[in-house]
Amino acid sequence: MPIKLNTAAFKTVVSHSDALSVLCSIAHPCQKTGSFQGRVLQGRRVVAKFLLNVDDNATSTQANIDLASLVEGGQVSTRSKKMKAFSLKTGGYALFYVSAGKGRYVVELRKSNAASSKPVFSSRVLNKGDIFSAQLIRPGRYNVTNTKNDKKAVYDVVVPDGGQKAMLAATPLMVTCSDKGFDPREGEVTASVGVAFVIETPSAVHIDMYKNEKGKLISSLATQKIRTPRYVRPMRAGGLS
Amino acid sequence: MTEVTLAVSEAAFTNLFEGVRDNFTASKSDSKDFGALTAAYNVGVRLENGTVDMRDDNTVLIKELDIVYDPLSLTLGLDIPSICVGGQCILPTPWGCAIRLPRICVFESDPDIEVPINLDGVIRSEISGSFEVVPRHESDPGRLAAMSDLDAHLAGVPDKWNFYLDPEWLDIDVIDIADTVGNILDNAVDWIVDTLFGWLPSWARDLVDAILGGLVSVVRAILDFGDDVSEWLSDLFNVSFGLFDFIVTLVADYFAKQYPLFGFEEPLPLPIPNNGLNPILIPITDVTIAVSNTEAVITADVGA
Repeated sequence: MPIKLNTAAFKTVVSHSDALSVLCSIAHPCQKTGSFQGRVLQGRRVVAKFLLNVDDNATSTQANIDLASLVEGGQVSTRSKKMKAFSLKTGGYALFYVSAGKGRYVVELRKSNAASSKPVFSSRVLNKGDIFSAQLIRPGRYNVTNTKNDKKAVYDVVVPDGGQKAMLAATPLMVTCSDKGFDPREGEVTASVGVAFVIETPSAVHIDMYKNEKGKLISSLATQKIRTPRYVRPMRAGGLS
Repeated sequence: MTEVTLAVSEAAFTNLFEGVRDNFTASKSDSKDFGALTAAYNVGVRLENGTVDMRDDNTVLIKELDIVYDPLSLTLGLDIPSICVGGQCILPTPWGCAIRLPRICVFESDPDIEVPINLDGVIRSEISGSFEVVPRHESDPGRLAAMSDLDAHLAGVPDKWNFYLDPEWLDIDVIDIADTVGNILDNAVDWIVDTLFGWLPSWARDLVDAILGGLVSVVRAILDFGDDVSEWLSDLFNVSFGLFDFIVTLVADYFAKQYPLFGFEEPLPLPIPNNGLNPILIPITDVTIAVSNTEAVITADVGA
């Protein structure tokens, strides 16, 4: 009796905005019309590419882009015909998320006709208008750090009493992330519903469990770091294959 | 034309009936799809006990003929809902939600879980009915068209007068579904929950429990047990599968057409030594049977 379990979702105790893992998402407002090439990176390695067309005439105001699916689908060709394309109405939000796997992805957007130029968006540093969300599911106490200004917060993830009714009524804890720090700096987060950080200052938000559901201290950072390969094959002319 | 008469006592008649009864076996399997629930069963049926009451109205009343369900296995297949998180709004506006979190499934069961349940001996039911004893002249299917009566007799494929119990009415009563069925099905629910979720750490199980609104409740809701498990099981076999109608029809057909109470050859070989010569075959015609509360009397014309 095969059961498909999103193993990573149950194991994850680390959620970083600059290394997106399962159940994390970044909403980025796309104010400028144009065609953008998206790149998904793991460390420095490009593992998937996609197209994002932002257009006044598009109907969708939210484009959900699952980085895990792109990587699993081997979407790494640079030929635009082979790349998965998403369309979004100007002013809408591109929502980058990871549905499964360890992830640790960085996502970048560049103008399509200038692929070598500086990214117009990189999840390495979030800026005003971006929203970083983490649907933490494992109960426990989590440390939160904005590594760009070293501001900190602490949140407790709990399964609420009241069962399904309470779960359905729960909303994400909304946190403002400014140069003054996190607001609120402490709070309770409903498991699986999570927390959303409204970014107002350059940020890289790190959420790390430091006490599990039994109150036991854990060293999550040591166990969750991804190894960066010592060798990465250089990109060939015509793209990765 | 000579007429012969043969009487069968109620005790002898009962012995004949028991022979027919004990030879009855049947099996059936079927499955139904109820959406989130599929149910399949496999049943073997035999008959036991039963009382024979010969009556003056030329009928035979058979009562309390037990139907034994052995084996009776039920396999329930459940479509457990996927457990997904997300979908909440993270940027509400006066015009609606500007950004909604994606829904991400953390658990899926594919294909659905199946739980086999042994229900041997759980259901007790019995058949009662009124029968007329009907004589029927039948040719052996192995008899060739060119065969004479003598050829057929010598080849062991003679014609026969067979006496069948032809039902006037037949009814089945589900007299009991053992109380243990409640425990059996509760155990099945527990097994499903343990198989699907038992290996999860307790915090994850608590979370899944909260998301689904109770694991046991979800499984019971899919099974649609309601308050009375016995009634659920009875409805499943009676209404959904039509098992009891099937058995009644099968028993009726068996007694009326498949297996006679008794029979004899026609023409009838005279039971006298033939000293190596061909046997003497006597035609038997116009066979009738009259049942009273003490005996069944068979009359027939003998000779051409």
